[in-house]
Amino acid sequence: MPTDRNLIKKEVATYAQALLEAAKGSDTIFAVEAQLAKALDVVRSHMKLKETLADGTLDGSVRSAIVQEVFADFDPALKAVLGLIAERGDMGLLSRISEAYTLAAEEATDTVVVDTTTVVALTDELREIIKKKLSADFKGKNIVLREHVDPSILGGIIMSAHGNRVDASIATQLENARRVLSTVPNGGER
Amino acid sequence: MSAKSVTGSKVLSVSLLASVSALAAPAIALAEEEGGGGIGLLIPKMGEFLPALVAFLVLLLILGKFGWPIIVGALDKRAAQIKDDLEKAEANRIETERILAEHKAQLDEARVEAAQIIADAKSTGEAVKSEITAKAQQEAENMIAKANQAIEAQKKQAIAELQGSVADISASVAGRLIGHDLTDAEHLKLIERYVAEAGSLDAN
Repeated sequence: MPTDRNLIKKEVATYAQALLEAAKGSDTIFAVEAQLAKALDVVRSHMKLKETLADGTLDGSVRSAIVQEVFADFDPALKAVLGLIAERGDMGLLSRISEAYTLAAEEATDTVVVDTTTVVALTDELREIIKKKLSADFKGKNIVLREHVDPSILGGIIMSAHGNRVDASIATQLENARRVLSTVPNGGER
Repeated sequence: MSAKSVTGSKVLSVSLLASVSALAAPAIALAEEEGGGGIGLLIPKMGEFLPALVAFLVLLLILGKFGWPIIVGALDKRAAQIKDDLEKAEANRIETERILAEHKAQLDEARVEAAQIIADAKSTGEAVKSEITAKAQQEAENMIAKANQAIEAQKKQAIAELQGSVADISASVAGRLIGHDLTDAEHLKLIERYVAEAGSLDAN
């Protein structure tokens, strides 16, 4: 893996652009974007897999084969690029590649990808309501929702895009209420 | 006893004897004449008077020659001694008075000094007493203030801990109630409401 920052940036952009071109061809830009995010989650959450893919003593083709096997049901173009990244020993760049791809995809399609987290899965009707609201926020751009279900937020919704976040979850509101209750000065008595 | 005084006493004895003899002669003569009576008893007879006078004069001469100077010398000496003694006594008295006055002055000075020392001691004692009292009072006030502060801090801490516990429990109970009690439809309604109320996600 290169260490020069400009070289890394170029390499990341190259991977993202290659993937975007492949996805454009099959009109699966945001499906690939979602699968790429999922692949990143998988690699981050499985320490053994992460260590294996970062192991420089292993042959590149072995690492590529492992990736192909793990993400067998992913888009073929994405699978091919992931294999290439693993073979070249660049799995450490996956997070940046994912971000670069998302930005490139958004730019190419005049779209904004928004992550949503809710306790229950969204209905189509609710999706439309959310997209409409977000489209208004982003000056008429298309909105693609990347949905996550997480019961720990207790209720409500968390939305995030481009590093910004709107947390309207019940868990956060309860935490805020708890903090206010804990820190509010004791009144009524001197 | 000195030789002069011995001689003096002998002369005195002779004189006394002569005087007694001289005076005894008229007395004998008077006794013999008692039988005459009247004024004649008072008038001495010449035959008796002359020897008596001679004896008296002899006595006077002897006394004047030998006895009187000794007596006068002794008296002068005695007077001088008495005078000397008186002067000495006067000097002693004056000295004694001076010493007494000096002692009196010293005593007075000592009394004044003692009074001053007592006054100073009293004053110092009062000052020390006042200082100790003030210090003790200040310390007591500080201790009370510190105790009050500690009590207040502990009270605040206890209230804060209680408040925190109440808040934690409230949030936990509320979370459990919401998590268990809301249906999917209610969750979706809640999401819809929150989306409508949420601020803009685009920070630009």
